[in-house]
Order: sequence, then C-alpha cells, then structure tokens
Amino acid sequence: MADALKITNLCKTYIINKRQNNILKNVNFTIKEGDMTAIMGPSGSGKSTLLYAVSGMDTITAGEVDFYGEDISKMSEKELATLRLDEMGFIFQQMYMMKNLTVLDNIILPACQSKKNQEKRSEIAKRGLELMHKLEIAYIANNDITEVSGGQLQRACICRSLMNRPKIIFADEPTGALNRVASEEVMEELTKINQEGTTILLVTHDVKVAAKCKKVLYLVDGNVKGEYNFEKEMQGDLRKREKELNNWLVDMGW
Amino acid sequence: MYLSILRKDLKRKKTMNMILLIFIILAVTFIASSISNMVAISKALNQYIDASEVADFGCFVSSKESKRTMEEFLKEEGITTYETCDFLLFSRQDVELNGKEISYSNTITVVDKKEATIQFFDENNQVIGRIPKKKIYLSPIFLREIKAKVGDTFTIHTKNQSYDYEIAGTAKDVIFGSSMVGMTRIIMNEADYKELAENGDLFQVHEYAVTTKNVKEFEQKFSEAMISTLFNYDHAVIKNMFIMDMVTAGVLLLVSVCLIIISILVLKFTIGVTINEEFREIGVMKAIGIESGKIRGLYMTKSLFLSIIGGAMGFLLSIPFGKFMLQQTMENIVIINKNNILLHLICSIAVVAMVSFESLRATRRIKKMKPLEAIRSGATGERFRGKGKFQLKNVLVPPSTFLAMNDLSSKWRSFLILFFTFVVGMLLVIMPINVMNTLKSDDLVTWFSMTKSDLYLSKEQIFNNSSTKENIEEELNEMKQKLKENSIEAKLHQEIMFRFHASYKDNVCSSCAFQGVGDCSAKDYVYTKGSAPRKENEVAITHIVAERLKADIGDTIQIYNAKEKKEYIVTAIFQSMNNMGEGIRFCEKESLPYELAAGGFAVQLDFEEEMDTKECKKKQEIIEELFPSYKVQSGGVYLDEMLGGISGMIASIKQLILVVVIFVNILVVVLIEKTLLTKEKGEIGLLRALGFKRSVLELWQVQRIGIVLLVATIVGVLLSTPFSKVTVGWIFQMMGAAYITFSVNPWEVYLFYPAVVLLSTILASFLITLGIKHISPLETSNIE
Repeated sequence: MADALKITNLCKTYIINKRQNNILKNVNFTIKEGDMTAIMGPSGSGKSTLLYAVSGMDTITAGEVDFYGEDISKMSEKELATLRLDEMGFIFQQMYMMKNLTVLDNIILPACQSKKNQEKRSEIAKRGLELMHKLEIAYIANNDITEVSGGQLQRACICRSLMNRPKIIFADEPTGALNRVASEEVMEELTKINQEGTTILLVTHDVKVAAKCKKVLYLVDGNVKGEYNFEKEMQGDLRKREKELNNWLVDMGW
Repeated sequence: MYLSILRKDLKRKKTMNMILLIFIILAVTFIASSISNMVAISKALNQYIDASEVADFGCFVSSKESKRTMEEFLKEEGITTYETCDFLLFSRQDVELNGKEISYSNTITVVDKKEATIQFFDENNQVIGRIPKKKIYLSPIFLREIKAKVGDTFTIHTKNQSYDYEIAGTAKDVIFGSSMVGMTRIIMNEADYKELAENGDLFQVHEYAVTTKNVKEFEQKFSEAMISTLFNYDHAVIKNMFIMDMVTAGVLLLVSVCLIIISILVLKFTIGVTINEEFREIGVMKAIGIESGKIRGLYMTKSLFLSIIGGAMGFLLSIPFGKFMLQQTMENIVIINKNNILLHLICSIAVVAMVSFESLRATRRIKKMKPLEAIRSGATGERFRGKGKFQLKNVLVPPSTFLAMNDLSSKWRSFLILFFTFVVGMLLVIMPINVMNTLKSDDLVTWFSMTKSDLYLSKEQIFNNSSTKENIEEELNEMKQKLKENSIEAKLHQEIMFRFHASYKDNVCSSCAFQGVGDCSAKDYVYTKGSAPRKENEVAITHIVAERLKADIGDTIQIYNAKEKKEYIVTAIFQSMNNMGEGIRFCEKESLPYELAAGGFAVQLDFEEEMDTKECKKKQEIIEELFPSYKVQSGGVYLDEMLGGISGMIASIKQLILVVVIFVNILVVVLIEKTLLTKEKGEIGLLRALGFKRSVLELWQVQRIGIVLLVATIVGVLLSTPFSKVTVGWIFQMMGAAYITFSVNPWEVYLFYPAVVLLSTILASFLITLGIKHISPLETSNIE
C-alpha cells in the first residue's frame, strides 16, 4: 500500500505571553493508504493539534507533511483549501453545521463548491440522499439542524465528509459528544467506509473506538511515545482487541 | 466583583463591546446634533425677524403720488408709529467690481445703514453697528453671485461722478437677503449715502415700516385704500420669502430625522446581538446557581459603563457635527443659540438612558431563561430560527450566492436596518437632485408667468413717469432690426410686471399683474383651467389670487390700477411662482399704465427657424456681442439666477447629503458586517475547514450586503419621484405651483448617483469581509 500520509519531524510551537510552548516535538509517523488509525493520549498531549496540523487546517512550525507524496506544508492557502475540499473529509466532535441550511443542503454544500465533481446540482443532491440512505438518515434530509438528534447529526457530518469522495477522513473525537448507542452506530459507519478503501485518521479518548482501528498512536507531551498495531484483522474479537489495547495503553502510562 | 468581571469582559469581547460603544457614540452625536438643529431651525425665522426688529408691516412706493397717498392714509388712520427710509436704485451697468462689469440681472439698491428700518447682521450673527466711511456691506447671495470677496473695490457710477467703496463684509438682511427677492441691498455710511444721493439724478424708492398692534386690520384698510406699491411685506411674507432657504434647512431636518431613526434601530440591533452573544455564559451562570438579578446587574453595569463613556464622547462630537450640518442654512439666516449645549446634554443623557433601558429590557429574558435554553442557545429541540426559503438542489447559483440568498430569506430581520438605511439614503440623495434639475430646467419658465423661449436677454429696467408701452415696443423693434441686419430672424417679446389691487365681492387683495409686450399674445401662456383672455376686459388669475378673492372662471372682478377701477371677466386660472403664487394676466390688447410698472422680465427671443443646440449656442454668442448691455441666457439659467442661485445651494446641499449618506451607509455596513462576522466566526471557520476558499467566503458576505443594497437602491429610486412630490412638492405649492412635474435626469437619478452609493458601500463591505483572513479553520469550535 502507498503512503497516504508521511509525517517527518513535525513541530508545532505556540508563543503565549512571550513564552514558547512546544506542542508537537519532532513527530514522525506514516499512515498507509486504507489504514484506520487512532491517535490517543492524555488531555493536552497535542492530539487535536496534530490532527489539524497534518490535515492542513493549521500551520506547522517545522517538519514535513507529505500527503500522497506532496509536502502540504509548502502549499499556499488556496492550494490547501482545494486539497481539503477535494481530497479530505472532516468530522468534528461537535456536529458543526451551517445554521440556516437543511441537513441535506449542509451535506451537499462542499460537493456543490468542488470543481472536482462535474455533476449537475440534482445529481449531487441525489448522491447526498443516497449517502443519507446508506447511513439511515434520509428521513431528516429536509429538517433544520436543530430538529435532529446528535447521533443523526454526526451521521450527517459523515455524509458531508464523504461527498467529495475523499482519499482520507480526519475525525476529531467523532463520538465524543454521543451516547453509547449513537457512538457505536457512528463507528460502524466509519469502519464500513474504511473497508470500502477510505483512509481514516481519528483522535479519540475511547478505547472502544480505538479498538476498531488498525493502528493506534499514543501521544504524550507532543511526542509519539508508541505505536500499536493490531495483529488480527478488524473482524477479530472486539472485546479481546479492547483488552489488548487497554493493556498496552496502561503500559504507556494511560 | 462586578468591576473585575467587567474589566475581563471588556478585554475579552473587544469587538462586540467596541461596536456597541461606537454605536452609542454615533447615536448620541446624530441625535444630539439633529435635535438641537431641529430646534434651532424651527425657531430661526421668528428669532431672525425679532432680532432684525422688523416692523409689523412695510411697503415700498416709487412715485411721488404714491408717497403722498401713503402719507395721507397714515395720517387719516392716525398712525404715527412708523419709520421711513429712502433707497437709491442702480442697475448693473452703474456699478463695477475691481474695475470690471458685474454679472447680475436684478436691481441693486443702496441704503443708509442709520436710516434703515431693520438691523443687519454680519457673518458671525453680530449686529452691524456703525459703518466706516467708504466701506459697504453686501448680502451673502449678492457677494457670491458677483464673485466678490471682502476687501474688493466696488464702484458706483452716477451721472456726474464715480465712487469707490471697499467691501467690508456681508450683511444678513431679513427683507432683501432671501434668495427669492430679486433686488439686493447694499448698506453704507450715512455720509457716503448723502454724497451719492446729492450727486446724481438717481431713482429713489421709499419704504414705510409700520408698527401696529393689529396687523390684519391694518392690512385690510391698506388694501381698501388701494395705494400703488412696488412691494409689501409683513412677518408672514418674510417667512415665505425664506422658503427656499428653508428648503435646505428642511432637507437637513429630514436627514436629521432619518439619522435619529437609523441610530435608534442600529442601537437596538447592536444591544440585541450583544445580549444574544452572551446567552451561553448567562446559562452557565444560571446553571451554577447565580441569581437572575445578579446576572442582570452584571450586564447592566457593563451597558451603563459603555453608554456613559459613549454618551460623553458623543456629546463632545455632537457640537462640531451640529455646527457643520447647519453651515449651509446659516449663510442667509441668523440662527440664534445654534449650539444649545444644554439640549445636546439632555439628548446625550436621553440616549444613555435609552441604552440602559433597552439593556434592561433585553436582560428581562434572563429572568425567564432556563439554564439549558441559554447553554444551547435556545436549541431545545424546537425550531428557534427561520429556515431558509431556498434549497441547494433547486437553485443553480454558486454556493456563495446560495448562502447569501439563504441568509437573507432566513434572517431577513437582521438585514432590515441595512435595507431601511439604504432606501432612506437613496431617497435623501435623489430628492435634492430632482428638485435641483426641476429648478434648472427650461420648462420651469412657464411656472413663472412667462412663455418658453429660445433665449432670454436680461438687463435692469427702471420704469418711471415717462415709461410707455410704445417705448418698450420701439426698443424691441430696434433690437429685432439689429438682429435682422445680422441675419438673425427672431421674434421678441417682454413680460412687464405691475402691482395692482383686485377685489371681488367683499374680498380684496394686492397682486402682481402681467402683460406681454411684443410678438406675443395671452394665448401663448400656459393655463391650468379655462381659456386665455382675448379681449380687453378679460383676465386670467392664479390659483392663489382666485383663492384670496374667492373668485373663479366666469366671475367679474374689479382691478384698481392706481388710476382707475375697471371690471374684468376671469377667463382662465394659471399657476405662477412669482411673488408666492400671485398673478393676474391681462390680454395684450388692454391698455395699462406703464409709468406704474414695477419691473420687466427678460426680453424673450424665439428664432424664426428651427435650430439645434449647437446652432443656438452660436447665435447666442453673436447676440451677446450685438447687445453687450444684456445678459443672454437660456431659460433654465435665467430663472436659476432669478431665484438667487437656489439650485447652486441645493447642489452644495446635495454634495453634503451624498457625503453624509455614504458615510452613514458605510458606517452601518461596517458595523453590521463586523457584528455578523463576529457572530458567524464559527460557520466561516467550518467552511474554511471544509475547504472553501477565502474568496468564496468573501463573496458570500459581500453578495449578502450587495443584494440588500441593490434591492434597496431599486426601491429607493422607484420611490424617489413620488416621495419628491410628497415632501418637496409642498414647497412648490406654497410658492404657487399647484401642478408639478419633476424634471428627472435619468443618467443622474437611475445610474450615476445610485452607482456611486452602491459601489462605495459595497467596497466598504468588501474591505470588512477581508477580515475573514483572520478567521482560521480552527474557529469552527466557535459555532454555537
């Protein structure tokens, strides 16, 4: 498999009150195409900062972020925007959506903006609805975003992230704001998407969520302290995987 | 505790607090200066008349016979409380400015300051005291019209000698100073006046200024006495004479009222948005058990703090701003107490109180609000905001346009202030343009008891005992012959004005009367009702005269022309803006006493052959050379000059309004756009995170304002003509024109000015949206 994302000596520094805060220190890791990787670590370890830095949403202080062989840290703001729109999908912890649009309009908005799709507006809407069907939320298509539950909204966010057929999906604690049932449903969808070939990089605190991934990166104080690869495939015993991961995390100081 | 929370809040929410502060400052500045100006302007004319010590009634007579009759009348009525004053009359050929001829087509009068029946004021509104020898004061309008300045040399030539005077300054003259009065008055030292009067065989006019307790009764008796006068005045007439000056004041009042409404609306909007911004925090405070009263106290402390600071700053700014707004009106009118500091202070306190009350009202919601509702910004499962009217799948516009349209359809209330401001701004810009173009249009001459002609040749004419209709006809024929010799075939005629008394049943009135001399007949004029007088005993009267006499077409009225009383049948009604709508038109066959004529209008020239503007302009130049003592003008220019260059005044007011409107538009756009950017930070961040380019987001924001602006401009332009009729039409009606057709210049009204306002405002909006650059994709977490 090709390298989807190759991070080399990534550093991110904030200057707060004239004091230098090194959030990410020489981070190195590689995500293969088709991987589903979780970033874990204690609060304040730099998980979300790492996710936003490697997705081109935030600038980096030093290092390289190669996305399919292209260093995105050298890209202009415009190029980054096009890359995020056409090649990347995003899912946030809070189900951020445009307030005055219906759920369907929120989902298809990025696809309407993308020049990658030569589809007609009606075809885009049809595809949006198909995705909603797939995630079993088609019945809320014309609802206002305030009229639906958190779980439904997060699935709508997944639909939105898939609209431009991204090569990679970045998810920042996608189940963080959901209850157990909704959380499981969302992870089930993400797993399916990954199985269909989309690379996923997600940040989570939840061992159950991380156990569904192929690889876990453990971040402490802005450094990748360890990397855990599940030996078995995803179809394996989930409870066992959770246990294995938990033990590893305890070893890491979780 | 309050102070420390306040300090932190002011630091943390800099933008919103700054917006609120700016709006309080602006509201105080606009409201205090506008209300103070409104009070000053509404009282101005009464105060000016009082300060000038104008008599209750005044009249001007020219002949010795009229002077004798007037004195007999005053004696008979036992009136001793009157003053008299003599004037010397000159035409523009008799005077020079810095050794050069002046361009002025009305009569110039000279008066001895000491003998004058009123007080004069300098540009600082101080009473002009003793005038030093060889110094003179001119009215501001006359000074501007002849392009003179203080310190210039003004020469008066009499038959025997020439006299040089230095222009010492301008004199505000309540009787001769308005733009509606044709004549101008120069005031000078008594010795200079005496010297001038003794050394030339000059034409004199005598003024009688009567002080009486019962003006109405006096005026009735005066009318019945049928004394031939050139011009009469009382306080009401003087107020009417300043109607054109009050047009500018009225426009300023209109601007002020609009500014007040806009300020209040924007203030309400900003307070509403500020409180909404803080709902989440309010919810958290309620959730942790802080009492509603204490939370409200916290917000009240903040708004009180901001409103006091803003009130104080706005109060200080309102004084120079008010002065700036009044500048134009102050040129001709003495405005006393124009800067009423106490009023400014009261207005400032009122705005501070209003902001505090509005904040108190807005914080009332805190009492009813549940912690959950506040934390979730009202998102309790029920729909709490309007849903967009459009669906992305059904519209083919780009996403940025869709977002703009969707915002406008779902949050239209937020854009009402913008819409209202833009419509009002457009009306304020276009209405003066319509008035100005109407006043400058060649068609306007028909509203002044004249016919429409190709050219107007004006020079000052003084009528006296030797004046006859034949003399005038002879002069016109000589001019015609001279034109013919120069291969110009043209018809010439001139409008001669008289002042007669008319009566019908028990109603008596004094009015201007007109008769055309030369190549014209009464049927060449425009009438609103009836048919032109064709016989000697037929007349047409204006609406105003018809109203005063309570007479109509078919009635027989009596007209006393100072020599004889004759009966005339009214055959038509017409409108005239001469002397506030007065007018009687005689048939050309009727013989009138030309020795009593009050004046003549320009000689009107109509080319025999059709010609285009270029050809006409060429001929105009030839005519100017042939008749150097005449000023040759088009109808529009001639009338504009006759009206004291009022269109010029409106033009400068128009520029001022344009600047104010653009300034207010930009201000409202900047503040609302900034408020919206702060509010929509999260959504902008989200779209940036999703890969929307900055330019797309800028386009979304600009299009949203652009659509509102475009719709408002169209509405404003469409409403401008009917609004002009409603608002400015009454001024023309007061002047005697009952039926007005505004002259609309499509290039200016439909294109140029809307484009200037539109583009400047959109540019401001675009510059603000550049702030999107500072909203990072990471701001997504700010979505509430």
